[in-house]
Amino acid sequence: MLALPERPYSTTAEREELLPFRVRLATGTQDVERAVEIRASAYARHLPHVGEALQKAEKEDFRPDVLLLIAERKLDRRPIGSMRLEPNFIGPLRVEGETTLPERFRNKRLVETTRLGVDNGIAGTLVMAALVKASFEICSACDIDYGIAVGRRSVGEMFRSLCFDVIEGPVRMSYSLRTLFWVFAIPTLEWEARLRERHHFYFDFMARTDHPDIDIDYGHVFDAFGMR
Amino acid sequence: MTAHARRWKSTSGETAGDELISRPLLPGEVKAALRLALQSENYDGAFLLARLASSDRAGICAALSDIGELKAKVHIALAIDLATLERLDGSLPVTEGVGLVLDGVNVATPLSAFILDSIEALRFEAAFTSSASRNLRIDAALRAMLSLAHDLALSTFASEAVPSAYLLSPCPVFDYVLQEDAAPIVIRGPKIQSKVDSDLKTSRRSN
Repeated sequence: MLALPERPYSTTAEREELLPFRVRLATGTQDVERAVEIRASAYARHLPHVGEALQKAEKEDFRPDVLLLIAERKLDRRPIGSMRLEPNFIGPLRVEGETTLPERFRNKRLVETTRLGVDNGIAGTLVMAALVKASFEICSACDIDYGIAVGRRSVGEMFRSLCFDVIEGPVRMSYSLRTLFWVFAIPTLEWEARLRERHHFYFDFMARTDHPDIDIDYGHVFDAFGMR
Repeated sequence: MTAHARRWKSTSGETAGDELISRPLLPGEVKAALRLALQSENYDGAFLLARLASSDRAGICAALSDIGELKAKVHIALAIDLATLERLDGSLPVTEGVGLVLDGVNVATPLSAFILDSIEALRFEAAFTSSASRNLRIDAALRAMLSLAHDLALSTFASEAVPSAYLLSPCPVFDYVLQEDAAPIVIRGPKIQSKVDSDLKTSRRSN
């Protein structure tokens, strides 16, 4: 049995910070429904036709190798953010159904971040940062080589600012032909160094601050990602 | 024993929580005041809000520790004033299921108070939200505060429902507003409930 993973940062935490919400893995149908609710409303603001299509859970939400992160307020447990992590261990990534990834991604352990949705949709929110931190820590714990993400122009700006590389774009996706998308990747092992070099405020949030409210069940993670 | 509460309803219509109607409680009084509501079988709110008297770090820590002993199934929110928040000086011990609400937020409340990680919600002063409906500058201040609160994922309470004749549309939206037209909720402790039940049974027998 694997022990809890060590902090994946080269620097020690200087402080602990509480959040007004908790980030955890969704477990069970009720949690999936809560994640779907926040995802549909987040997408509906910018891509109404996609938001409408996302009002029901997708088959990927129930895949045993897929992790669904959910952020919920402590006060009333209302969901305020969600994100899905889909690995390529069993089959190709979702994005690989739309485009071919460059050769350097062949035979690598990849995780695609999909269906990122936050209540008020602002890239700078604390909820977004906490979801990103949780996903990074999961990827580090599971020896993921690259995190992959697909985003339209505005979301793409966020991934660029988070030091992701643009690997393709603009491209049209089958699920939203009217909108242009970009494909991004980040080497997990380089992410912390990139954030530090850019003096990015996520570096302080992620590497120098402990967040006990990011409460990931690593037993579940290791089971889902076949680590034990 | 009975206590009274008022209901805060979510503007998204999904949830509701209750606030104990009482004078501001001293830290040593909180546990007993909450226990009654928590033992009540008719309690169905998502959270229970109680207002604390102005205190300091030691008082808040004592209140948190006492509440922790209750092992409440609902979330407990303690409303504290700005002066108390400023006396906390750093992070508080983590107490599962308990959070702090900054009470009495108005135009003079510094935004630096919002970013302290000790708080999970803001309750706006009634006079502030009311005057924002009549004054453009105060309205701008309120909207900026709400925007910051949303960025920080803080829940927001408005002490009064926003007037229907609001100056600018759309009106500022708070997460929770008071159900103004609702009568106070009477919370009965379990012992009183069983006495009421036994009185009812006696009365039925005699009839």
